[in-house]
Amino acid sequence: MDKISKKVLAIAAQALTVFLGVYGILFANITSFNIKLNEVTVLIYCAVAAICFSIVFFAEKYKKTLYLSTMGISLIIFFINNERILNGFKFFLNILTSLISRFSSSIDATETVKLSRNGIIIANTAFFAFLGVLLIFLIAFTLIKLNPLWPTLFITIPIFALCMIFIKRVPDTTPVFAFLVFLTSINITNLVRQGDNKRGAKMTLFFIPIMLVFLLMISLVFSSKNYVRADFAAKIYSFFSERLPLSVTNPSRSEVSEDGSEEFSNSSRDESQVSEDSETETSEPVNRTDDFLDVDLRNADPNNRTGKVILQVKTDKTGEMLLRGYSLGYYTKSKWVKFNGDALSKLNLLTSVGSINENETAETIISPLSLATYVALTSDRYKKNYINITEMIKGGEVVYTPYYPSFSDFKSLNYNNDSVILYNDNYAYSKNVNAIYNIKIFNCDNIKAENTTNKYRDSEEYAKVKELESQYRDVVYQYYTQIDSATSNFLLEYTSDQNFHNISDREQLVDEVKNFVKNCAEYNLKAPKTPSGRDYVQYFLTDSKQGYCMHFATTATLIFRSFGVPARYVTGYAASIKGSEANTQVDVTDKNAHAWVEVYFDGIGWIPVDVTPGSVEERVNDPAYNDNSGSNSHEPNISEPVISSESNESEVTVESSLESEPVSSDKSSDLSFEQSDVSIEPFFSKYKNELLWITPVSVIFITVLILLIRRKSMQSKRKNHFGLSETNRIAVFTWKYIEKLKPYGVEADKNVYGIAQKAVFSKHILSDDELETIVSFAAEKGKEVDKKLGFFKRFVFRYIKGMY
Amino acid sequence: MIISLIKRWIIYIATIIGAITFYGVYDGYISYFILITVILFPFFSLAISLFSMLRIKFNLVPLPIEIRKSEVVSARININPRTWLPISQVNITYTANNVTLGRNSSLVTVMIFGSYKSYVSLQLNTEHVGCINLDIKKIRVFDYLGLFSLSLKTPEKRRILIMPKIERPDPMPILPIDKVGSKGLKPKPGGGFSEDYDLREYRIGDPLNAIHWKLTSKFDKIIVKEPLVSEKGKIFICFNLFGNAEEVDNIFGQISYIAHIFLRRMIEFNLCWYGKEGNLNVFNINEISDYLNFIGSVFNNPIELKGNAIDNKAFKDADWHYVISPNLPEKGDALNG
Repeated sequence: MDKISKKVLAIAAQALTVFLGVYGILFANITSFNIKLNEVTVLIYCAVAAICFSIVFFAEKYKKTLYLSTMGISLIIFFINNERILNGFKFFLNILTSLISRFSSSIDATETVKLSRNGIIIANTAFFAFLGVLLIFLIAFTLIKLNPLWPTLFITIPIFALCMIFIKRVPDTTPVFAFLVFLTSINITNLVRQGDNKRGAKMTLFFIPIMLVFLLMISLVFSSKNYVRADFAAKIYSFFSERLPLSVTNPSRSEVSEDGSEEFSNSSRDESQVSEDSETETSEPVNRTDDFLDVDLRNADPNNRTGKVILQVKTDKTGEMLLRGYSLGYYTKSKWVKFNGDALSKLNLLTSVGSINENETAETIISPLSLATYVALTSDRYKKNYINITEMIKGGEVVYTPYYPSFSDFKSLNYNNDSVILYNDNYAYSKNVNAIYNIKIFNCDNIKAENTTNKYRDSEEYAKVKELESQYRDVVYQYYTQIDSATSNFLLEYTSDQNFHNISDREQLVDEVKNFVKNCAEYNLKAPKTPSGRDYVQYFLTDSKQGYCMHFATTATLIFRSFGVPARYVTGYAASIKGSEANTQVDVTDKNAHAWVEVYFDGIGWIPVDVTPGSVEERVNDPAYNDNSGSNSHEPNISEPVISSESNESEVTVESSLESEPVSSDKSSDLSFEQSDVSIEPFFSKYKNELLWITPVSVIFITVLILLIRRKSMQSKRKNHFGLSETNRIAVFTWKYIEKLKPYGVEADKNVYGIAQKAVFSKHILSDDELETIVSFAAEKGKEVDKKLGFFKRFVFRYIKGMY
Repeated sequence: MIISLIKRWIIYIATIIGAITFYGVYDGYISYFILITVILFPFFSLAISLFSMLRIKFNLVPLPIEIRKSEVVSARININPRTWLPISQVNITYTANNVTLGRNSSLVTVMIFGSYKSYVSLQLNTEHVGCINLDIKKIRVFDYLGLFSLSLKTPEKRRILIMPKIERPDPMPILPIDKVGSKGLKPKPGGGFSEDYDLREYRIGDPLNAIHWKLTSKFDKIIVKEPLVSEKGKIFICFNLFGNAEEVDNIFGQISYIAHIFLRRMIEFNLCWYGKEGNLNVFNINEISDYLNFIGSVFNNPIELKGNAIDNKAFKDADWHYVISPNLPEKGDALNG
C-alpha cells in the first residue's frame, strides 16, 4: 500500500474511532436526560468534525494553515450560533444542578431560559453539536498527539458517567455500546499506538468490530433477562449510602384537590417527578412547557392579557372560528382535570379509512375528534375550506384544530387521545421555532341533524366510521355524563323551571341550555374569584352572578351532564375572520383565549357550543384588559378565558357562522408541515433532500477516484523501479512482482529463476540481456493474467492490488 | 520494565475496584455489564494476542568478527511476528560487556511498541578496544493490554573483537629493519644439508657421514663439514598489559603500528609482557594470523588497571627491544607495576 493510501486509511480509522466515542458520550447523555434535539444535525456536525480534526492532526505539511483555518471556521460557526449554544448550555446545566440539588440542599438549580418548545430543541441541538465538536477536538488531539492514554480517558469517562450518576433512567443501548467499543478499542491499541500512531489508528479500525462482537457476546451470555443482583452489591450500596448522599429527595408526586379528585387525575404527565422506586421514570427538565394541563378554575386570572400573538391563521373561511386546544373530562368543584389512564385508554378509539369521498384525500385517521367531519364530508352539500395555522410563540405539545378537521398526517401528529391532538416528539418541524400546518375542514348545513343517504353513507369506509362511532358512543356515555351528585342536584334544582327534562330532542335541548346559560349571569372579566371551599359553579350562579367564558362553559357542561347529555369543557382560541381578511394572515392573540362546551350527538360526534355571551370582537376589545401590549413578561395560559364585552346583543354562534359562510375557495392541501427559516444549520436542513442523494454519489465518486489514483501510483512506482541504474535491483523488484503473480498460476521458468538468483545472491552484475529477459517475462505474464481474469477479479487485480 | 508492568496492574485493579463500586451503587444492568467487561477484558486481550505472541520469531543478524575501534556497529535483531497483527510490546534485555576492559556491564532493556516486521538495533560501545560479549538475556512479548507477558527463546551469545586503531608511537623508535635480518651463521642443529658450511676438525660425536674425506686425505686430520644456518636476531616489543581504557587503547594502537611495519617486511618479532602472576609471556609473531591470535587471546581475558611492569629481565634475550608506553596527552597513572 503506498504512502498516501496508508495515510488516508489512518485518517479514516482515526475519524471513525473518535466519532464512535463522541457519539456514545453525547447520545448516552441525551437519551438518559431525555433531551429533545435534532439528532441528525448533531451527528452530521460530529462526523464532519471528526474527519476534519483527524486530517488536521495527522497532517505533516501546511500544519499552520490547517490549524488556523480549522480554528477560524470553528470560531465563525460558534459566533453565529453562540446564543443558541449558550441557551442549550443553560438548559443542560439546569438539568444537572436540579438533579444535584436533590442530593444536596446547598446546591440550587441554576436559572434557565424560557423558550418555546421548538426553541428549546434548537438550543439543545446547538449546544450538543458544539459539545460534540469540542470533544472530538480534544479526543483527536489526545489520541494523535499525546502518547499516554490517560488524557483521553480523563476527558471521556467523566462526561459519559454523567448519564449514569445522577439519574436512574438507563441510556439507550446503542450509544453505551458505541462508547464501550471506543474505550476498549483505544485501550487495546494503546501500546501499538505508542510505537506508530498511524498503525495504531489502523489497528483501531480492525479492533472496533472485534470489540463489538466481544461486547455482544457478553450481553448474550450475561444477559439482562438472567440478571440477578448479587448480595455483595447490596452491602456495597449500604456502605456508601451511609456515607454519601445517594438518596434523592422526592417532591410530592400528586396534587390532591380539596374534593379528593385524585382518583380521576391523569398521572401520565407527572414525568417531571423522579421516583426512587421506579427505574423507568425520568427526570425531565424543569423548564418543560406542557400545554395539555388541568384547568384551575378558581385561580384563573384573565386580566393579564397583553395582546401577544399566539397564532397566525390564514383561511378562506370568514366569520368566527373556534380553534380547539383540548378538552377535560372531570369536574372537581374547582378544577377541570383529565381522566385517569384507564378512562383514557377506553376513550382512545382510532381507525383509519381510505377515500370516502373520491373528491377528497385518500387515507385519513378517524379519531373521536373528527367523527363529525365524516358526517359533513358525506353529506350532499358539504362545504370544504382550508386553514393554515402558524404557531408564533408556543410550539407546545397541543395542536390547535378547527371544526371539523380531516386528519391525514400520520407522522407528525399523535391522535392517541380523544381530548387533544398532540405533536409527536422529534418530528422534523421541531427543529424550528414555529410550527406551521394546514388542515382541511368540512362542514354542511345543520350537521347536528344530518341524515342524508347516499352512496358515501352506504360505503364500506363509512361503515368503519359508524362502527367507531358506535363503540365510542358507549364509552362517552359512561364517562362524559359523570357529575358530582351535589352539583347535579344543585343544577337540577336551579334549572327546574326551565323544563329541560321535557325536551327529548338534543338539538333543541342544546339551544335551550345555551340560551339559558348565556343569560344566567353577566359577562365580566373582573368577576370575583370563587372563595376557597365553595363550588365554582354554585358560587357563579348564586352569589357572584358574573363571570367569563370559563364560568359559562363550566356551567353549561355540568347542566348537560345533569340531564344525561354527554358534554365536556373545551379550551382553545376563538378567532374572528372578516371578509377582507380571508386568505390573509390574521393574528390570534392571548386575548382570543376562550372556553366553550362540546356536546355529543349520537351518530355524529362532538359538536361545539359557545355559551359565552358576546362576540369574539367584543371580548377581545374589552377595556378590562391591561394595555401592556409591549410587555413579554407573561405568557398566556390558554386555559384562561377571553374578555367579552358587557353587551349581549349580538349572538354570533359558531354554528350559525359556519352555516352562513359560503364556500369561498377550495384550496386542498394535505396536513403537512413546512419548515420555517429559523434553523441552527440552514445549509443542512435546507438541502437535506439534496444531501440524501449527493452523499452516496460523492462516496461512490471518491471511491472511484481513490482506486484510479491507486492504480496510477502503483504503475508509476513500477516505472520508477525500472528507471534505476542498478540492474540487479531492477531484477530483484521484477522477481518480487513475478512471485506476486504465483497465486494466479504463473510459474517462472528455470532461466528467469536463475537470473533472479544471480541478482540476489551473487556479485555478478546482470547484463542488459538478462535484465530484458526477466522484465519481459514479468510483463508478459502480468498481461496474460489480466486477460484471463473475470471482470470482478480483474478489477481487484488492477485497482485493489495495483498489479497491472 | 517491571515497574511499568506493576503500574499497569495497579491501574487495572483500580479499574476493577471502580467497576465493583459502581456495580454496588448503581443497580441497573449496565453496571453489571461494565463489571463483567472489565473482568473479562484482559483475558480477551490475551486470547487475541496469544497467537501472535507465540508465532513471533527473533533472529540476531550475524555480527562481524572484528571491527576497528570507534567504528559504529550495532547488533540487529530481526522481529518477525509472522501474523497479520503487530505485536503490542516487546522488551529485549541484553548486556554488551567489554570483556577485556570489564567495566561496562549494565543491563539494557529496549522496549519496542507496535512492532510489525521490523528490526531493532542494539548499539554496541566500540570506543575502546577489547572483546564485546553480546548476551541477550531476555525477550518478553506482551499482550495488547500489557498485562500478560511471555518469555521467548533468546539467540546465542555473540562476540566481536574491537581491534585497535593504528597509532604511531611518539617518539617513534628506529626499528631494526636492516640490522636484525641476520646475526651471522651458526651450526645447523641436527646437521643435514645446507648451502653454507664450515670445515673443522672432527670432534667426538660428529657423524661419520659429515667427514669431508677429500680434505681429510690431504690434511692428516679428520675434517668435518658442518652445515651452517643464518642466525636471526630476536626482536622484543614489550609492553605493560594493564592500565585504564585509554592507556590500553594507546598501547595496542602502537603495537598495531609496529606490528604492521614488521609484518609488511616479514620480520619476525616477539611481544612480551608480564602476566597477572608475574610470569613473562612471550608471543612470537611471524605472520598476520599470529598477530590476530595474539589479539584474540589477550582480549579474551580482562586487563587489569594495575599489574607487573616490564623490566630488564623481560627482554634479556632480545637482540633488539622496545618498550611501549602509553602516549596519552595527559598522563594518568605511571606505568608502574
